Amino acid sequence: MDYSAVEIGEENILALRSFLREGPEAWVPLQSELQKDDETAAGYMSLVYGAFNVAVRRRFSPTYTVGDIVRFVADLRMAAGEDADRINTLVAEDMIRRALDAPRPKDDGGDDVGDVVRAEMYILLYLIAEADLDRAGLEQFIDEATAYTEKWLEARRDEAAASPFSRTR
Amino acid sequence: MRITDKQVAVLRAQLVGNREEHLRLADQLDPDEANVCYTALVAAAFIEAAEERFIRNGDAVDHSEVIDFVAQVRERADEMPDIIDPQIAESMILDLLGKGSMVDADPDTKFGHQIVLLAALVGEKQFTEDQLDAFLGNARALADELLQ
Repeated sequence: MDYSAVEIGEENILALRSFLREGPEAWVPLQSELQKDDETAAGYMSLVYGAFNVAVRRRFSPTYTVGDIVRFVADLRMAAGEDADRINTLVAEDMIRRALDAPRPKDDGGDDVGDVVRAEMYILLYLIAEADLDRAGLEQFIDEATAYTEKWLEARRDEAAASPFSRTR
Repeated sequence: MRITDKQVAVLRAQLVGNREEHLRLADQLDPDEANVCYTALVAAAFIEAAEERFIRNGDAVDHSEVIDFVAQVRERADEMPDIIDPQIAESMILDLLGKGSMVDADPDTKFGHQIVLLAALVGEKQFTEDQLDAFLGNARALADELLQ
């Protein structure tokens, strides 16, 4: 993925706001826009990834144990009812550990993209519901997620520029 | 082949957390016997304990109760999430309850999960000596049936 072409624009922020308020169905009308090209899709997904990281760090600050992560994912799956098995426990736990820079588990549950995306969406929406943010709180969260994502993309661009295999565009 | 007193004593020592006694007695088991009989005894004890815990008035509990139990086992210590695979553990219980099928796992992994889950189930019960003996008696009878 060439992150030098990925930017977070107003449409990405609007989409994140709809997603956090209404859930994944808010993205159905955006389907064609999301799939326009890799860079556009990456813009949306990068912002969700940033929001996921900010939400996880907020939830597990200032201290946590590995057991807290296990309990959180179990509670999330219990709340998901019949969808419990759509959330891969090991993938979800590993993603939370990565967001917290915690030691990784021996088994990260594999790298199935569907498992990763589902875990990210379920965890993010669960955390937002749990935080019970008011309008101002949600806007503050979105601002923080946007800033986090821009910093993350900048780091990816720096990595790409430093790589001897980087392409010039 | 039938379950021996010695095999029951090995499992008893393990379930009461007497590690030294468990290892001492386990060393005395004939390896072939241990492979077949002790494995059957542990499987039977697991079936007894899991059915007792997760079947109420003839009905299996909800999936969420199984998720909760496995998480209780895994959240106890930092190393537990690496020892117990939640998918394997949940599927072992759900399989017994007729609510799903066991995911693929090699026999050693399956045995390891059975022992840890069994210890947790027995720990929850807080058996008296007599109750533990009665529980092991039932497990032994079931294991003998499984071995026939």
